[in-house]
Amino acid sequence: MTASLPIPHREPFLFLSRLDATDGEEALFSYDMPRQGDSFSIRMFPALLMVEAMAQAAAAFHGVQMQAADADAEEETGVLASVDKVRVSARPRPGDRLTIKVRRKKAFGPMVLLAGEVWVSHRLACSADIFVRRGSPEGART
Amino acid sequence: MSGVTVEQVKELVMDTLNLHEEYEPDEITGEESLFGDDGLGLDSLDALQLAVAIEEKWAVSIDENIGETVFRSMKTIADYVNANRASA
Repeated sequence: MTASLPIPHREPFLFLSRLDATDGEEALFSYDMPRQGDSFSIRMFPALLMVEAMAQAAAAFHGVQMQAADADAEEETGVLASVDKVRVSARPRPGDRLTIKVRRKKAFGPMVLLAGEVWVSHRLACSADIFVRRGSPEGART
Repeated sequence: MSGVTVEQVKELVMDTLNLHEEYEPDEITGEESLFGDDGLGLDSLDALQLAVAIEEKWAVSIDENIGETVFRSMKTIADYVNANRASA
């Protein structure tokens, strides 16, 4: 799927290039890192940006699901609530293609827990638990 | 299989939500409300983290539709886990 993803992020702060596959429980995204010398290129991809990529994937997955369910605008939104259990085992380099996987683990009330992973060339580079609160930011204080 | 005690639930709650810096173990009796300003003041993120921790430790899944009832206090959590543990 190459259509724009249902998240507000744009370059240079967008770390998803496309949605490759999805079902009700998980989604796979790709991110083609700029090569050195390209616009917005960076020498290394810090671990924090891999966490950001997983958070963007979680938000995009939620948005795609809501669009498929023909949800109203309020339900389509979500807020990143927390990130936990971050593990980093590799650093991507310019020109690498990242595969970002998010899998829904549990939903409870307005909260959803997703397992996030970033893979580079069949190697797990980063993983984390991503917590998303469904609904508008105004309702996120409960 | 011995039953889960309120003390064990208290330990799980405090470990999962990192409450050790906010409360001494003796300050929590197990009867107080978990949510709301008159209780421990937990929120929806805490509820999800607790639901996951309970499932991992005692293999008891808590349906989100009854979460409000189960998470009323640590005693209600212990009661629910003990009632559903064998069939989980």
